[in-house]
Amino acid sequence: MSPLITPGSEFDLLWAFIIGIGFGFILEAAGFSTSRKIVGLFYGYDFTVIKVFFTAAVTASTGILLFNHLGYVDYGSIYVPTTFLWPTVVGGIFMGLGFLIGGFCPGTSVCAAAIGKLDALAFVGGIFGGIFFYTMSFETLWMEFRTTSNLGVLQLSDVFGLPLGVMILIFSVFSIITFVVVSKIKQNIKNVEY
Amino acid sequence: MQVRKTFFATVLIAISLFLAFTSVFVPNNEIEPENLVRTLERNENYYSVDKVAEQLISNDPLLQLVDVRSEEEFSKFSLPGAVNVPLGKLLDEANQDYVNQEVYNTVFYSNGSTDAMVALMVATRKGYKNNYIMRGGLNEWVEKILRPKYEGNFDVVNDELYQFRKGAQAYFGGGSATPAADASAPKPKKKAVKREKKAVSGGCG
Repeated sequence: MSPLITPGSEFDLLWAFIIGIGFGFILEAAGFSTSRKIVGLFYGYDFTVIKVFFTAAVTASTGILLFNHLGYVDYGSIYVPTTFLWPTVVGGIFMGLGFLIGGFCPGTSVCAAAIGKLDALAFVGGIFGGIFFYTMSFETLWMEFRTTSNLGVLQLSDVFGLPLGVMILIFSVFSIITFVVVSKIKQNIKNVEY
Repeated sequence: MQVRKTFFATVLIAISLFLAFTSVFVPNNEIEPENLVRTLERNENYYSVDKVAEQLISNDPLLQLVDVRSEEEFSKFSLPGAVNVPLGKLLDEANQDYVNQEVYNTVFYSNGSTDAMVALMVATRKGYKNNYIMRGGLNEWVEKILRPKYEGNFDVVNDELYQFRKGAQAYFGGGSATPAADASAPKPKKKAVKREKKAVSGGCG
């Protein structure tokens, strides 16, 4: 049955377009085109981001393993990117700062720019500025660094030495606990106007 | 709202429990043939001869070269620091430290690529990690490192590569120095057998 979509065909861009529209729609529906909602997690008054990301992670992980079990998806052929520890940490810091200062992530900024938000347009401009900076400083700053501390294809289950299914169970329990905790916190916070 | 949340949480835990149970009690270590082929095809399983040379020169502590040719061939010529694990003895208990470990990057090599490929296939099938092969084997090593030629157009990239290979050639003693006795190097010419002169017979003597 799998794969549903064969990469490398002439329909690639069409699929990307359809998936992109779906992704944008979900982001907008979750309220992610509002920058206050995204930085709310940092300031501790809105936990939508954490809920959406944890939901996405548990749905995807249980779904993929379950489908693998039923023979719809071939787990072994799913591409898992290589972990470059320090480059990822540095990239994460840049990304986090961008999130915090601009109030968007790359995806949500495009989403918000599409509905005409000016701050999002400025953010998208910043993205291109960042791409330009990275390109121009690639040889001097990043070329060597980006492939250092290569840990190979690494998953949480490898790190803890647990079977994949057990890791997913732990992660699911952890996300439910997180959901409960953030809901309790949210109850004690007065509503913030967006 | 509360009921719905509890319902989803219960479903999630039920599915996760099922997955955890099956992954503990029904372990499936078999690698599907398709996956095996795909794994072997992956570019990241290969070390180029340049990469091996670079890591040898820089004394990379993680590099472990494993020569899968016969003991006889190994004794004639091998790469510096390589250990000999003939293909037939790959799974022997004594060799497990080389092929089934998670510290070093084990790079198999043979004359060409075939035997090294077989070694990688067996290791992958056994679920061993950190195993790679040197693309092109010793034949390519001789061709590119011990006797480098300028390839392609004259540009910065090719020039750097060529300069690196020339350096590596000097380091590994190729070129003017005689490579110890590598597989595809021309063998010393056999001495011509001298024919004994026959005594002249007949004629006027």
